[in-house]
Amino acid sequence: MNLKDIEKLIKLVEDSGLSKLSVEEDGIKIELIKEAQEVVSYQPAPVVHQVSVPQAVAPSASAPLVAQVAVEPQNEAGVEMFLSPMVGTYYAQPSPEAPVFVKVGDKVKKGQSLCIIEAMKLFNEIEADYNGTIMEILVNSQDAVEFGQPLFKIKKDA
Amino acid sequence: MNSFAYKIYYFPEIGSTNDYALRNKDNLVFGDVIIADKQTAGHGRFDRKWVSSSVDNVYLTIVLGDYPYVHGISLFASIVLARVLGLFGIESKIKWPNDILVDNKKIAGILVQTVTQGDKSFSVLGIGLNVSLSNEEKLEIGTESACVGDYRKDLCKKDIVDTIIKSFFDNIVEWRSNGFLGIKNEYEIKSSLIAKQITVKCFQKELVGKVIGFSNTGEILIEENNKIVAVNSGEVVKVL
Repeated sequence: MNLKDIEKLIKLVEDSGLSKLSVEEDGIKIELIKEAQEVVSYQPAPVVHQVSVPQAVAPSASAPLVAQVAVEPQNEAGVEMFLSPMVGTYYAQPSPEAPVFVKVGDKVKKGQSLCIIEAMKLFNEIEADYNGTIMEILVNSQDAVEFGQPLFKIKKDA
Repeated sequence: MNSFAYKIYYFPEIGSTNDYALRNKDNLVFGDVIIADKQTAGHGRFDRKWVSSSVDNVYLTIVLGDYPYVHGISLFASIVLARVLGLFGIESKIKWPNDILVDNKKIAGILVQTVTQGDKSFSVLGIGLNVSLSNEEKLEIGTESACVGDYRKDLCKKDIVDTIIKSFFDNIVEWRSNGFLGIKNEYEIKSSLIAKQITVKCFQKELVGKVIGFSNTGEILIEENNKIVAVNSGEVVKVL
């Protein structure tokens, strides 16, 4: 897949009613997400390239592509690493039979429970402290987690 | 004489004293105590039901609010309970981390719950102590249970509750200064697991080994294949 192909894909997504498109080829995964700010990201792991297509500019084949290379995933616009406030065991649900607190893609509100972390029989229900969308869950239920370990990637609401 | 003035919220019947405190966290502060005669939705860890139909048992929650020294505080509370039982002439053991056993039967449980949002935390410490259980109630609980009434029939619930609360607040200054280190010796003497071969379920796997003691912060130290593992989370599922 070359830059021309990616440009074509971007154009395709822009002109379509699609809000998201994932393509995987030769181990390179490209995910295009159309959002309010029209940030389109192109992600061959582990380095994250960001391709912005400002919607304000009339889209045409010659529309300038602004490319950013971000090594730190935290630097993605508005995306925050949600860190564990304590050492312990991570639980994705309040009890074994209950549904999980959050899934990837969920919109979360400030004050909404995201998980429980337990140590020495202290059960700490961790709440979101801002509104946003869960982009990634970085741990599995019953994993041992450290203080400050990233638990979620959350895109903060603008 | 009370060294600490605390406010008590008493309910003849409530869902769970911990849940009440967590729901009303904006109006409660460190030192407030919630007491109920009866809990209709009492629970232990993971919402496991804590049978609490009897009006003769102790159901109370001590509000810790934003108190910062909560790591291992359930172990401190278990020592407080063991001391209180001792004052009444009942010898107890502690099954790590915080179950109180008398004659190897569970007499009390502790559940600490915290809600954290950003850099703000609110904690509550719930205590359930069996004071009087009928044989039917003991069967209903499932795990082997004991109650204060099995050993002392002359104690009234109010005296037990008052003694627990007073003892908790009298000793929390010591907890704040010394943490688990201050109670470590006593905890080891009271431990029902020390030097025993146990199985702990933690992080989806089982650890089998001999309990050699506790760390300075209350983790249980287990010797498994000549290597010492400190466990801060898990459940003792088997004791040999």
